[in-house]
Amino acid sequence: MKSNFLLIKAEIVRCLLILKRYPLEPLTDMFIISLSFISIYFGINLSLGGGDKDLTTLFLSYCLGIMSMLIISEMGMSIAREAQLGTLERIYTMPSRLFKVITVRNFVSLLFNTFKLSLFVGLFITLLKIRISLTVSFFFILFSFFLSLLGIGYILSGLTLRFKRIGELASILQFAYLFIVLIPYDSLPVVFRYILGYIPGAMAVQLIRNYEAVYILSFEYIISLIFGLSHLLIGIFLFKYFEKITLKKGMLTSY
Amino acid sequence: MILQVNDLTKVFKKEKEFKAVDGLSFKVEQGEIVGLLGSNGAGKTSTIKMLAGLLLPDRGTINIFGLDNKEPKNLKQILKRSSFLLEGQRNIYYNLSLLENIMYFLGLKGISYRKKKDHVEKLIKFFGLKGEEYNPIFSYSTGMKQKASIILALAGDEEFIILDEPTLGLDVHSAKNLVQLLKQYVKVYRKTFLITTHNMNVIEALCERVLIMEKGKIIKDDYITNLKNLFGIKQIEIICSEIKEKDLADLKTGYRLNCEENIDGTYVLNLIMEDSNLGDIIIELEGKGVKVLAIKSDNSGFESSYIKIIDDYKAEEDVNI
Repeated sequence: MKSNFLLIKAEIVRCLLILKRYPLEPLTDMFIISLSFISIYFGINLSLGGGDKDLTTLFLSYCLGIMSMLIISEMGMSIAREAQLGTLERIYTMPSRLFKVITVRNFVSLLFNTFKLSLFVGLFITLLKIRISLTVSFFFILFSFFLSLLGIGYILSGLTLRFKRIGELASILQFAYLFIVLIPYDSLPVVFRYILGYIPGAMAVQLIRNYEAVYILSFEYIISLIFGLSHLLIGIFLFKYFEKITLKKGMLTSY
Repeated sequence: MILQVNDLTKVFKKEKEFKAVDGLSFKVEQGEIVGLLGSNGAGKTSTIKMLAGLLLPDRGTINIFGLDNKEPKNLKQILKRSSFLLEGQRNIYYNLSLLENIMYFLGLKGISYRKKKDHVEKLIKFFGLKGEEYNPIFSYSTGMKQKASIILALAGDEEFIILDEPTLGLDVHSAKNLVQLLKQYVKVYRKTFLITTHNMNVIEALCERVLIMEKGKIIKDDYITNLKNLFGIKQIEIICSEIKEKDLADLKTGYRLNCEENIDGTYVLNLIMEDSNLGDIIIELEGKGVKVLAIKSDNSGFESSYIKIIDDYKAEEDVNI
């Protein structure tokens, strides 16, 4: 328990130190996030028009999309960076195994990205007078979304451990996510909605568009939770599998 | 006993099968300082990586502190009580300071920095980095980075310390300086060390026992004092005037020597004396019109013994092939 606390503390302090050393990075991130949203918002508004409900939906979908992009980028790149530096081997000589370190890192990264995003959310809620009711179902949907995202993160971490350079794949995935969150699911046939729904996080994105009407015991939510859990388990399994191959082949630092 | 390795084997399969470590067995007792020597590709780093759990062996067992490192639970305990320096300077976050690196990695070990603060401060002072501990590592010189990596490896004050090439990439002066510091550290802290290196000064200054590896096997396991006297070898350096290539080739048929030309036009003959007589070679040199300017004798003999062991092993292998 104490060692877990020290590990979490070490990761938080490391993130804060890097933030302190490179203070412009989060600011430029914020600027790009805001600029992209303004472009999408005005683009949709000019071409289609739109009411308050559409704006809230667009805003929430966009936030989830950005969150996915940030986490995919962090989890995909983190191990590659460590391998390039050589610190990956040192982490492996620590009693806290890489899986644990990566898990803690993901949570800390989630925490920092949520904070970063909440600044953006706060700014646009005030500017565009967006109304979001923070209901229990809203947080439950977010929970299933993060389960899926963590699963994707572990798969990417495992792939990076084995193949090192997966930057292109991570970039494609980031844009795929932005596409997924902006798809008008309602206009798709039901079969496609479920097939697309198995894409990690997509079901949660569908639900969040109508989150005020979602019950936490509803069929859709339970399916979304099952999907999220299965993505997480598949992610953990693949990470462990790629880790074993990497250790067997001695390719930990072959960047 | 701290470490016991039994029949350790690792085969890499690329285009061709390559046995990096081949049925390796050895022990390290508590408080021993053991050197692991060998040519490039002899299997030293693969062995160290298997000890740390960074590489999975194909066969054999590794017991550290009496615990088999194949079991994840045991490995965790082993890594808590031992420390590894792998590939030196590359094992450190360049954008963080030394102190920040220490705090982070102690955190990963589950050790509170506050508990080790005095020890860390002593180490920083000991290795001459006082005043630099708050600066980011990227502002350090190569020697300072290497020292920082060693401090990082020693910060947890573990019982068993494994250093892979601690002087790699350092110039002669920095390497000598680092060896002196490590020598003092070893004397003061008296831990169990396993050190791999190509630098004979490191081995002679720090180690009591040496394991010599070649082609994944241990071909010699003995105390350094025994190895020094193993062949009664002396290395002699003869500084002389210009020597013709033909005369040098003649000499090489009768003596184990190599020759280097100095900038000032003089020549240095490094001669390994076995049963040869120094007087004989001097007479031969003078007979060829070469003037002997100076003679230096190196009595340590360890480097010569090491070279001889490797050469003999290779010759034996050639005969077997």
